Amino acid sequence: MMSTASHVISRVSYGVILAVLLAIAAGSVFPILHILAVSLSDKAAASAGKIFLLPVDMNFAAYSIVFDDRQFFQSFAVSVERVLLGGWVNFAITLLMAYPLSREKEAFSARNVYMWFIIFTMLFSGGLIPWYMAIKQFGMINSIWALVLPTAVPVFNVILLMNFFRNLPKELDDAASIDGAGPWYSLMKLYIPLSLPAIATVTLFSIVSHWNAFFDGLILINVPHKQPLQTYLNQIVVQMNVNRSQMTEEDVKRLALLSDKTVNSAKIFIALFPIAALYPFLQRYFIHGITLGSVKE
Amino acid sequence: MFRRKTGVAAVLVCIILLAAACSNKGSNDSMESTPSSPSPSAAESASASDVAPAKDPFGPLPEQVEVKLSKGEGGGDLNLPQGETYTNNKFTEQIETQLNVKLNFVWETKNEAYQQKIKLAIASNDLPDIFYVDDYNDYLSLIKNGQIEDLTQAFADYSSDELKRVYGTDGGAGLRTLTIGGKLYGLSALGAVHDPVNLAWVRKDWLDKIGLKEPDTVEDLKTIVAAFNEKMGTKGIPGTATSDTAIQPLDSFDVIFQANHANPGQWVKDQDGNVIYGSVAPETKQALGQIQQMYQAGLIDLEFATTKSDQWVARIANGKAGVFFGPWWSGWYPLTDAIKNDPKAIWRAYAVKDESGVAYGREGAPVGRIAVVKKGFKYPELLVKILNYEVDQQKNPLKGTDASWDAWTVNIPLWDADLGIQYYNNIQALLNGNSNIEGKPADLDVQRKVAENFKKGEDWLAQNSDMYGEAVSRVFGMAPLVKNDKLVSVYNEFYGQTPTMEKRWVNLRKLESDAFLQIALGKQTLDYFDEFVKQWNDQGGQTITQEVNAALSN
Amino acid sequence: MKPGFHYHLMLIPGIILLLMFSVYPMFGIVMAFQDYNPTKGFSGSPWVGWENFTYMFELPDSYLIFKNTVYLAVSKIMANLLLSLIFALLLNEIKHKLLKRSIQTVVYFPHFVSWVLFGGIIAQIFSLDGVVNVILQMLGQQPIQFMASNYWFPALLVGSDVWKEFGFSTIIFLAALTGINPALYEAAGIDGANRLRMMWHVTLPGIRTTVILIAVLSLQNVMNAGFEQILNLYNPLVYHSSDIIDTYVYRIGLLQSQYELGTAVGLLKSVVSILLIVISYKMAVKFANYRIF
Repeated sequence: MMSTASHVISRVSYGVILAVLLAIAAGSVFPILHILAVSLSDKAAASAGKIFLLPVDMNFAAYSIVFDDRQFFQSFAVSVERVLLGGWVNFAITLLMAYPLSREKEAFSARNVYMWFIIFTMLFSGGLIPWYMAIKQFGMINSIWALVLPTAVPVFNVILLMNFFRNLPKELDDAASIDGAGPWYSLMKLYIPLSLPAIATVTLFSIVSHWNAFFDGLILINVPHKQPLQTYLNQIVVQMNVNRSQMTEEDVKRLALLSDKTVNSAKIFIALFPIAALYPFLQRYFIHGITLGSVKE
Repeated sequence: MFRRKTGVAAVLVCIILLAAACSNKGSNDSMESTPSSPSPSAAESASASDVAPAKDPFGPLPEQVEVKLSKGEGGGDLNLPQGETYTNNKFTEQIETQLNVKLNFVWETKNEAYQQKIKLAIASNDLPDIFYVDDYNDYLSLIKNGQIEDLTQAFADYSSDELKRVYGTDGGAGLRTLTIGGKLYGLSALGAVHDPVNLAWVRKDWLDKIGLKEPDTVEDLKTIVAAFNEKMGTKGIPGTATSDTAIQPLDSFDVIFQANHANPGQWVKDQDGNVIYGSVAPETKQALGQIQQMYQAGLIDLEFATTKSDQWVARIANGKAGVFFGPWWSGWYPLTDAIKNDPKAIWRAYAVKDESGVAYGREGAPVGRIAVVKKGFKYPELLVKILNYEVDQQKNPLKGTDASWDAWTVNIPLWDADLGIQYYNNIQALLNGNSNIEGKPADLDVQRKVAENFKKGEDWLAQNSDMYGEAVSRVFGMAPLVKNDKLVSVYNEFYGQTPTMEKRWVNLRKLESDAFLQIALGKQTLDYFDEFVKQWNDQGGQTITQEVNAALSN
Repeated sequence: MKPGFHYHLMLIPGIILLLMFSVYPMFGIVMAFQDYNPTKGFSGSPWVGWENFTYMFELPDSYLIFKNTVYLAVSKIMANLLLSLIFALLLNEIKHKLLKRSIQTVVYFPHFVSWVLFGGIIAQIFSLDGVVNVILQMLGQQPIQFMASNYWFPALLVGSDVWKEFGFSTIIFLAALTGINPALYEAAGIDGANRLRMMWHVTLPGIRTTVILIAVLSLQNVMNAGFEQILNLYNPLVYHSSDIIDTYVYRIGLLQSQYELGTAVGLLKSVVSILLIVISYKMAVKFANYRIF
């Protein structure tokens, strides 16, 4: 039972916390609003730096430049395909690997070997050139698999999920083994349902990673209509930091017609929008607390 | 348990070792360059050349071959008819039929990405048969690593008259730059004359308002900028932070250097005929002194060293600058944006002269995009023939298509090096009422249109900013360069790399950049320049200068 | 079938993929020891031993560059960790579900903005006539050229990085927070603890393992101090405090093709990362009796 004084203090502190959070959140929102405004503004106004939070001379020119090209829709489809395929592969691999790695050494003796192996692969790399050569050797250049398989094992996510699994109560395993459940049953029926927040997290990261990836699309895909969305978007405009002493006449004419700023801003939104729509959906899984009803103390 | 664990570890290690072993072997076979197409036996080709017909610049190859190409696309409006694409259009059709080849575009991408992809292709030796590079250093690399064919003979035998003529429009500078060790390894677009020369662009309407005369010298500019600062609220001449690939650290203010006969970042001849690096010459010190003064007086934007190019544009487009330095084509960029924000502005370009009335202009590299042939491709002359057809387009445009040169098979622009000047002269003629102009049909059309637009007056242009860029650039931008018979062009004498450069050039550039900026910003006195020259020479600069002179005297 | 067999089975697909795409290309590491020629490939290019590494260490300012890299990276890791942890803890206190979710969503957005644009915004805010200097002048101070100052610029880099990326770790911590048994909070409440004490005694211990994990995993980035960010924000006046390994190598690459240097640098980074991670692991085992992995 709290006294009135402590009641007031806790109300005030709640208010302070809220204010701080809102301030920080506002800090995250302002740049987004600014970029949205730029994307909807007149190119000359954008160049002159006149835009703050509201568009100036609103028009959709930047968006129509992006959407006009048939390649936009082709690349969009490629990215959707890649997210679905790659997302599923990541999902399955992450679960399948996190579970055995979360077992204790006593239950799974080779666990440490595997663990350090995957950490090793996370830290060491042969570099771009042999990576490219290897994928070429596997015959995957220019196919959707080049966008899905090389990143099929998201080691960071695996470790994250493994850590989460390890933190689930030991009683879970005891109960499972008493009931005679094998590893597959444990994973499917016990661990997955109880780890929804963590699974939602790694799934989100995997989706975002696939959605944002542009470099592999650039290197591994040879025809424009098979490039993923970000690769296509990335090429629409010249670098923002223009080196005037090296521009060609084509560059110049294009800069006069296009605005790097407005089109770049439009690109951000186009990429952001699906994620923004998806994220709240995944938040349903950030449910508080695990149901311990299945475990008898 | 112990056994199980080591068992797994052992298996994993074995797999890794096996993979490594296999990969090394594999790399012998599959990582090396793959031959482009099956070539007939030596006997067959020998007999074919015995009865070879006269070397026809436009004739088909003796047998049909497949040629692999890569394509970079500009992304502008190509003007292609329905159903045609970058890699499948009337131009490519023409090449296939006339030259008896099968074109296979193994990869295509936009220009920006093209750079990265081609570098990777070069590094992994996974090259198409015919491709191009935009970076001259890549070209040198390709030659050094033996990845491309020698085209000297092919060019001599198969180039058409028109192609030879075009390559003569810059006095042969382009071909000379492409010739390494006496051999020609690639064919390129030519560097456009006067394209990089910087002029002083000034708000003429403000000059008139305040009552100042048009600038001739740096002193005039100083007066003008001081007046603008005071009366029009500007903050000095804007500049940008050094871009990593800029020719010299204070590139934005090259006009001031040129007005002092200084040529930082370039290899130029001194009075004795030796080639020296312009950044360590006494004239550069003089120019730096002027810049330092101007910065102190607020005649140069205080923030120039931290300004990126988009902020630079913002200052001009916003009316915060009344003077800026830019090439003749600044009408397009950044002035198209500036005019939209302030349609009443009147911008004019001026070549800044020294006290004796001579203006200097720093010219650019004589070559642009370079097309090459992969080593081992059986018919290197194919590239020459394709270019013959393409350069012919301008005189005899292919029927049935209006598409831009970006749709060509090997899309390097093959304009005359002095095309900008030709445009200027023709447009002037039209404006003076003389409609008797000569040139290629496509160019004549553009010139007529520009003259027409220009006649509609500056107000009309300001309202139709799409047309503003070209008209203002081609009339006002180009004028000081062409009309001015006292413009002296300065060329960089050396474009390669010497052995010491490979080790030390990065450091020397950094030294230079630091020194110039410190002096300009007033953090070091002007005499620090002498200290810089000493350090530059000691840290490899002197050796490099000797190497460059040696290389050039061969 | 013993459970062990099934564990191996579950791991096999991932291991095979890792062998194909991660281990197999590692043959390219030899490039760090070669004078690489693309036509000769990895097996034919001449061996030069440690030459590429000595070149790297002999570059002027190589010490400075390493120092900058580590300093900036560590600052960013710590700042990010701290802010995202505090933010997650504060956000966890919010009862109102919709508000909580909205805030959680919104702070992730800056992650999607490219540094090209975000850098432009930062440059604008901190320029001489930008917001910050306007406020400074209103307070009677002299304007400061933040972007040109070796004193301020690192703070700018760390701050803007946190601003953009703290949302990422926040998500992870929020997920971890849901894993704390609500019964523990109830018990603490009965014992008379207020929210603050609960945070100290229940919440923090509850996500301790996750925090440690994130901290250790971040160690792999100690040599990657944020290439894209710095490339878009820096200028020659602040090279002294912000030039990192990657930007330096990038500038070299612009002047001359240097495949070998890139590989050598990459190798060095990997070695440092794995050393750091192994050390932290062993220290955690020794001092906290806790196995991070």
